Amino acid sequence: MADPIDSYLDELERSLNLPSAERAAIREEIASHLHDERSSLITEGLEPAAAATEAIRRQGDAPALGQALTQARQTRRALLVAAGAGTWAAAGAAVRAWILGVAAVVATLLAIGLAAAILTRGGTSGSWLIEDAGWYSAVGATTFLVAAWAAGRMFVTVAARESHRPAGWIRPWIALFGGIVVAWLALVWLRVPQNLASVLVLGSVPVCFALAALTGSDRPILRTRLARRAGLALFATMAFGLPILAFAGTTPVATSLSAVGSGPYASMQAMLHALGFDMAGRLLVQEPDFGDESWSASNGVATISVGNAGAITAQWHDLRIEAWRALLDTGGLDRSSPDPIATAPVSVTAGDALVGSIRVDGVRGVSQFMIVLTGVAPDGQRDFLTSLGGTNTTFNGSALDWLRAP
Amino acid sequence: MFDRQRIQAQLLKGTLPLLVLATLRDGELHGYEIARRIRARSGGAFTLSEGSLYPALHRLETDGALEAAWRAGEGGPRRRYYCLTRAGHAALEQAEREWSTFASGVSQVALGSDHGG
Repeated sequence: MADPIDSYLDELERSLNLPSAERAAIREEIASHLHDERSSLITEGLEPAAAATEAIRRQGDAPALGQALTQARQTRRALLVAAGAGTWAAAGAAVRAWILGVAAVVATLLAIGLAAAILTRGGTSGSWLIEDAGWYSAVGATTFLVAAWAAGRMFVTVAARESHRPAGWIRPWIALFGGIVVAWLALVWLRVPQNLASVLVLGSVPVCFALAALTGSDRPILRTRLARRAGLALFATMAFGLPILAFAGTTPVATSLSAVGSGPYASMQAMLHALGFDMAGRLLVQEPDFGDESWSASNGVATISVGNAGAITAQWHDLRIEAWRALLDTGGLDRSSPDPIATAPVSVTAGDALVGSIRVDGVRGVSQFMIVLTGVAPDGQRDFLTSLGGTNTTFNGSALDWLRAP
Repeated sequence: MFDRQRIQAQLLKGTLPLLVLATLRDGELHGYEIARRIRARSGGAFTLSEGSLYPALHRLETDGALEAAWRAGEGGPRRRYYCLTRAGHAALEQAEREWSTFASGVSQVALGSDHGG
């Protein structure tokens, strides 16, 4: 026959709508009380069975006690404390996870660099840095993903503990409201140049947070010795590895950046073709004489100015300034983008100059661009007239602008 | 006309936090010992419903008046000991003043002005 005290405690535990750790603690507390009471009653002369029954009677109805204990712990103040403590703990967990994520990336890059050095027998040709076309953002977004997961899990654990509510009650709220905040952060992140991988990772960050929250537990987080050691090892890797990477990244190395631009070409047309400028129009045997040429770029606007406007407009019409996605390491255009990212007309000034301005910071995924001048020849073909320069740019605008942008 | 136990229960309902705080004034105690001391000190004037003790203890803990910690028992299971926090001491002083005023007022009304404090 089951011990009546155990049966009472089972019923009490079932009626407690609290996190599992609190349910266990309350069961243990009431159990010790009942056993003390029973021992005292036995000392007073009651039979053990009768003593247990009397101890239970004095404690009162188990479901009513469970409900009263639940209400006593689940106050509004506790809910407010839980919101604050949960947010703080989630932010801390996110920062720790992000640091560990960065450490993991640094460790990976160091391993790749070491492997490359061994394979090239210690040679230093090439750069250790990732050639960026949104990849920096993709790597950062991946660490953000890890941080979001850690934050979601930690938020549920701490909020359940502080609010004295079961994880099942907490999860949907954290997934919803926390997910909105994380989605907003991801949208802010989308303002910097991205590639497809980066956009996909950022898009999955709110989902990752919500999944972490929905699978979160109200059980205390176990901090094992192995986890502490792994964290310390990753942190040490980052502490030592970052300066090495920074040094390697800033050390001049032999590269082939200008190899394409300075190659032995038979003609200027061949070189322009190699650099991809034939995408912007027909290549001329001889570039027109523009006299004074200048160009500038600031605050996302590139401006071009060339002379001899009269001579140029006599030969070409529909002159326009075009911005092209570029690969500045090779000094040419990005052949994977066969259309200009933006175009704008040019106008003739009183000083016989052709002047045009173009905004280059409103297109997603463009980190480097090149400005070219084109015009339509009498035969109807658009000619590439000249390219004055190019540089890097970043997307400028809100997350909404980013979504609307081409 | 009046059920004695019901009157006691109603009177105790509002005074239980004061009884718990006052019992813990001298040091930390676990739940069973708190119940035992309240029973002993009251001289049997009332019977504390033990089922109401633990919700009161947990409410006071959640409100910050009490702190609780598990300690190993002497040869028995570990027990949860409660002690007053600084806020708990302040709450006790306030509850004592309010009780004194309230009890005095009730006595004057119920028993006549001669019994007033």
